[in-house]
Amino acid sequence: MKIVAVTSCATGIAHSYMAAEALKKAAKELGDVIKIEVQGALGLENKLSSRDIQEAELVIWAVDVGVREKERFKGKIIVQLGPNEAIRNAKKVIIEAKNKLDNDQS
Amino acid sequence: MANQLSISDVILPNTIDLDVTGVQNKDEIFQHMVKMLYRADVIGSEREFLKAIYEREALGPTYMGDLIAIPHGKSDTVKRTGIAFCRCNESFYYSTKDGDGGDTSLVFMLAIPDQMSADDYIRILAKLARLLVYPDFISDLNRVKSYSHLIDAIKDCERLLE
Repeated sequence: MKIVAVTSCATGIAHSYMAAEALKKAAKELGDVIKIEVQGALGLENKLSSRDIQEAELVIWAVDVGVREKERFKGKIIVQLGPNEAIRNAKKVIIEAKNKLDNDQS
Repeated sequence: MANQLSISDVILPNTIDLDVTGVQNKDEIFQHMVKMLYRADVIGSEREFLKAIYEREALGPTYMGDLIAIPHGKSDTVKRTGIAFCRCNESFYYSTKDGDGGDTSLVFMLAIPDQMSADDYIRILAKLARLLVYPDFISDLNRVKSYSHLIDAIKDCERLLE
């Protein structure tokens, strides 16, 4: 499955990167293709293009502050959670997000 | 991308302690690690650097979960970028201002010179944080018996991130 994700964290700085790495690792293990944008002090790193987003089958926001340039995601179903959840249990997060997507679509 | 500083380059043989005992709180481990950084000539003043560490602690959690904490400070008393690493034989509670700390036994302390750009500072923190996601890396940290083993483990995992 094609997945895009955004990670950010309010205070910890490094947690957004940990969440990104955890999601990347989990997606790889599950056989999914993922592109992850980290929103933080360095701006939008590895920024997702509108095309990346439109082509994605699943959008995950692992954030605890507002997502910047939100309009790119218009019309997409978004699964939102906190970065710590992604760090602790990235695989479960992806699996549950897929299930949620199935339920929403049926 | 600017120059990619690798974690393994800035951990020195005399800034690691794999056999820490008796630590009961983060203040004690901070003092121990700041002393190591001072003796290794990474920092010029223990007091000044501790101040930078506590200022950062006040901003938000440096506890990363899974028994790991990465306190860090940027200060003009830092002479060159350095990282200290401690492995404690017994875990202790690492407190944070919001009460979301946790039991800790592995601590990386980053000393960043004042002139380092904010971007590079975040990049090195980011790199360390990314390493911590890999369970094999954590079990290596718990297992290594010497400085050279530790550096090998870090280098192995750094390659994974490329």
